[in-house]
Amino acid sequence: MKITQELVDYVSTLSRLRLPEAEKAKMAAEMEQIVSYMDTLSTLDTDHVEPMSHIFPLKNVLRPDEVLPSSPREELLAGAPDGDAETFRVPKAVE
Amino acid sequence: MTWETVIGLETHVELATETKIFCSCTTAFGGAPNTHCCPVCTGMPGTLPVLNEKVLEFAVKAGLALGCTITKSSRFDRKNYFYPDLPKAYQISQLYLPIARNGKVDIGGGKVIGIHEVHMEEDAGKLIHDPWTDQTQCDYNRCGVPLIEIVTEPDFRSPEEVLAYL
Amino acid sequence: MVKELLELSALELGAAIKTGDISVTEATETALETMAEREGDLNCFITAAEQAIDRAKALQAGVRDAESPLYGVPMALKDNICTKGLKTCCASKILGDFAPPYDAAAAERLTAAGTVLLGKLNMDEFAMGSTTETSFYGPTRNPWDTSRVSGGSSGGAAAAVAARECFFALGSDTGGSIRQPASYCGVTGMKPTYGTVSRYGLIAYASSLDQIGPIARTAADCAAVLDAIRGKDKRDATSLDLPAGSLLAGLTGDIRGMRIGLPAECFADGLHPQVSAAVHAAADVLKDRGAQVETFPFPLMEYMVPTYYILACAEASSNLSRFDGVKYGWRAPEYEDLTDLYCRTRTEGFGAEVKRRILLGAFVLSSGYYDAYYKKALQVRALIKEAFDRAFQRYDLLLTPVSPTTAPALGESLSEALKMYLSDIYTVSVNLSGLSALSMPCGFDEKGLPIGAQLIGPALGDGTVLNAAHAFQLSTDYHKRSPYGKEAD
Repeated sequence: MKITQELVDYVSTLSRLRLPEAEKAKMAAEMEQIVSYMDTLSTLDTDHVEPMSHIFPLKNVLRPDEVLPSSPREELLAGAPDGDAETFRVPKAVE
Repeated sequence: MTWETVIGLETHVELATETKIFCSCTTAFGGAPNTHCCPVCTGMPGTLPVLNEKVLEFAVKAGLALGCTITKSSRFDRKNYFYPDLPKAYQISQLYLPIARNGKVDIGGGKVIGIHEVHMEEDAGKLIHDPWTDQTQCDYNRCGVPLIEIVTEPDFRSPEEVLAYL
Repeated sequence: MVKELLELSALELGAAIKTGDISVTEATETALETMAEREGDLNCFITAAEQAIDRAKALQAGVRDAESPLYGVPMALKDNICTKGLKTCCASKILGDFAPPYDAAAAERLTAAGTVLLGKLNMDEFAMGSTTETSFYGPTRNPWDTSRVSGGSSGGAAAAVAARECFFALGSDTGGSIRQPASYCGVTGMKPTYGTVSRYGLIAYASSLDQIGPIARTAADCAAVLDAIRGKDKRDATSLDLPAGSLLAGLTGDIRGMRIGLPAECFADGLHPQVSAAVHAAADVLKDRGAQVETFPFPLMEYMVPTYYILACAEASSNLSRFDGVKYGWRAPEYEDLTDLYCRTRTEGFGAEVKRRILLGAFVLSSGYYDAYYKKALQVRALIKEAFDRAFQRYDLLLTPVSPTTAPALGESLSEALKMYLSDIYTVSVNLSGLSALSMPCGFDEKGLPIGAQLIGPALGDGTVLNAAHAFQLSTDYHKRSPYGKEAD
């Protein structure tokens, strides 16, 4: 199928990626080649086949409702690109 | 021209469990920011969710109390979006096979509200907006607190009915 | 002295440490010297563990009471396996100098077994690639010919083992990422049954396909490493309750009566004749040891790669969304608002191959295309699994090539993404079906480059796979050859 630059823009927005203009055409062409190859699946008859998202049907794997100590806050915040002693920080998230 | 009021509700209910839905951090209210957290609920790379058995139990009880059919084979799905209160950039919720479906609630006066479904999901964190610095602080204590979402059919015809339901 | 030490397998070294013939410190120092000597040419490591010698000294004291056959053995971990306090960055710019506040389950278990961590190994960025050329830290070169790639995505791991910089390594395998570099580097690598090794602490690429596994110079070493790291982990809900008993103890070398199938479609066009010849020769060795070998039809081969890439890209696009510059890792230095922060961080932080797969993944999951691609691929996956289940009713193991060729030259593979994807044709089926598979050296081509043969077993057939490989290695010496000319006894 045809992968247009509009489609590339659409999936880029979904993924929070913003390719430079020069790269968009290349990406569209590469994606088209790969997606055309993926199209070969349409030649297989899969009527009445259950989609298999789990290879082993491991069911009901549960955990008891018992509190375990949380991580020390400094450990969790240690790698934060921006923050203070208590929180992670980003530019204003609300208009 | 008159308008007909048609309302459906999606209500999020926090479940009264000791620990979060997918990790063993406490669900206790309050607490200094980011002190009820671990690598799992802060979305650190390589971490994995494990379901809290009490969450399943409470969700099933809620479903039964609402007259629902419990789904024998239920599943979790990921709702992917980007927002700073969502550390993994996806919320683990249930879209295709929610835990309970097709119930009803009698709100009195002969009116019955259909319950479309009840599903389990995790709560997001808390964002604290600082108007002075134009920045937002993220506190993930609430991330992973278990919720059920109760979705009604669009059966309400007035605000009074909504209040009676809630 | 030193050279002989380097030729020991991990188990032989562990035994020598136990008897006191070699000290943990000596083994570690030798490994570190080898790293110092060869890293300039090879670039296997991203990060060295600075406390390796201290760890070795501490371990030496406990040798008498050591239980694990791997006690004191220096090893290294692929850089998508979390190590507490030690940089773990998946060979990506976007993780910056991230040092996880926790160890992966597999890392914990190797620490408990008394091994020495030498450092974190180079890989394709976020495990996406087949040559270790997409790494932000430069490619890893093949020790057999440094103008060639080491394979991917566990290229650093396979090359480090082949170059004798460490005695075994852990890699990860999502579509062949342990087996293919093992074959290009002339070492033995195994992807165990899905669920065998906990994925807690493995930075996810495709959660339903990923698995951690050993890379070493012998199948016996792989068995010992798997024994140390496998088993149920409460933190990974997909980890399996495995039967008790040691894989290493199960290596008898006796494969009489074993039924081995060769899928005909794996030996068709596109396979280099010398690779084909070497794998057929491997079949003959197994036959000589008592196995029954025959070819059989396996028509779903042509659907393996598209199915894999649809599912892997879909899962990856979701798994990599958490890398957003908010909580850890690298953040773009300039941005105007929140959306700009996300976009710049991710666009500049991810390499080209990763971005391509994220976009493909978003595409196959988007509404309007979800049914035709993602859902369809899940259905084909079910068909593929069924086909293997049927094959394993007739055969105990399957034997295939690992890769259509031997190691390509650096730079050769990157120009055509699709061609690179097609080279995964023999390996992806195993991940799609959750099976057990191993790559073992079975020959060399005319340029002296290693060729690998793949043994595929049913789910939970790890013991059978390892035993067949062990049997093969009792009759051959390909696995003992060294890129540096020396050979083990």
